[in-house]
Amino acid sequence: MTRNKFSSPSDDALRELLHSRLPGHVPSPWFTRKVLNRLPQRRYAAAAIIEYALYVAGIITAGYFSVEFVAEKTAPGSVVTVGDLSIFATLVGVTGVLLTMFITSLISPEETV
Amino acid sequence: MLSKLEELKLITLCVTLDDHRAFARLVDEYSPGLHGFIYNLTLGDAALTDDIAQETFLKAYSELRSFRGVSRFRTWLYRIAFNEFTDQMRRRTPTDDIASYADKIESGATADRSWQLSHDLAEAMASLSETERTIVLLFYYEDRPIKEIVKITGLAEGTVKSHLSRAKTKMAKTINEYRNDTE
Repeated sequence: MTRNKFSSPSDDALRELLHSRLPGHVPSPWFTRKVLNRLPQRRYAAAAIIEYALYVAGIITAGYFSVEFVAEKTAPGSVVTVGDLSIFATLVGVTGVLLTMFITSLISPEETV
Repeated sequence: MLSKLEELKLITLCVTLDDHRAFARLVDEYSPGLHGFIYNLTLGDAALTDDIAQETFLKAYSELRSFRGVSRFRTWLYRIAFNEFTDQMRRRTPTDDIASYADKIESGATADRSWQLSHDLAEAMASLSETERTIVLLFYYEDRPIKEIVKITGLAEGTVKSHLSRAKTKMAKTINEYRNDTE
């Protein structure tokens, strides 16, 4: 129990009394959800626009390189190695993750709470 | 418990990105303490406690940009809660359901302590003015220093101390009872 500077013996007795006797109150498990539901809609602030722009740029870049890569590797005379396959899997994975994050942030920004 | 740095990071996310998830973390962190404080402030009115707590967090969110970070977020939040409580009390008729509050106090106490003491404590709490009750709860129940109480209530330090002293006199009977009970 913390002691304040402005304390005396009767303060300590009163503090002990209130700590031991006063009832606590636990918020309902839905309290946070209720508060979130009443918050104003997300504003499209500059930072949020930049966030979305970066998602779009990332998706276009990763998608472009994935297509380029496939086109190059399916051209006549080219050889596909295990390394090529792992590069392709990485490119597709990155595109997929960015796309999922972008869609999630657009549809339900606080769904994971 | 959130560190000041984590707290500022979450606030920054709320302000810049309108990040509701970050705000949810702040609500989760502070709502249990805030509920306990308001619950005793309203003399055990659970519905009113929930209303005040909700309004407090909603106001905090909408005014987050004005939070300068000079004091802790918790102090700022309690200041909003105190103002909200004062506003609500102005609109309502004061409760005289001391027995129900005493029952709640009694239910949290150990069996060997008397019902009379719980009733006296409930009466003592109810006899305090809203400001006195706020200061008593902050000082004795929440263990906040006087300087923080000054920030929460917006009263001068001398005024807080005199409220505290007056409240102590009013509650003296209960304290004596408690001393006799524990000795």
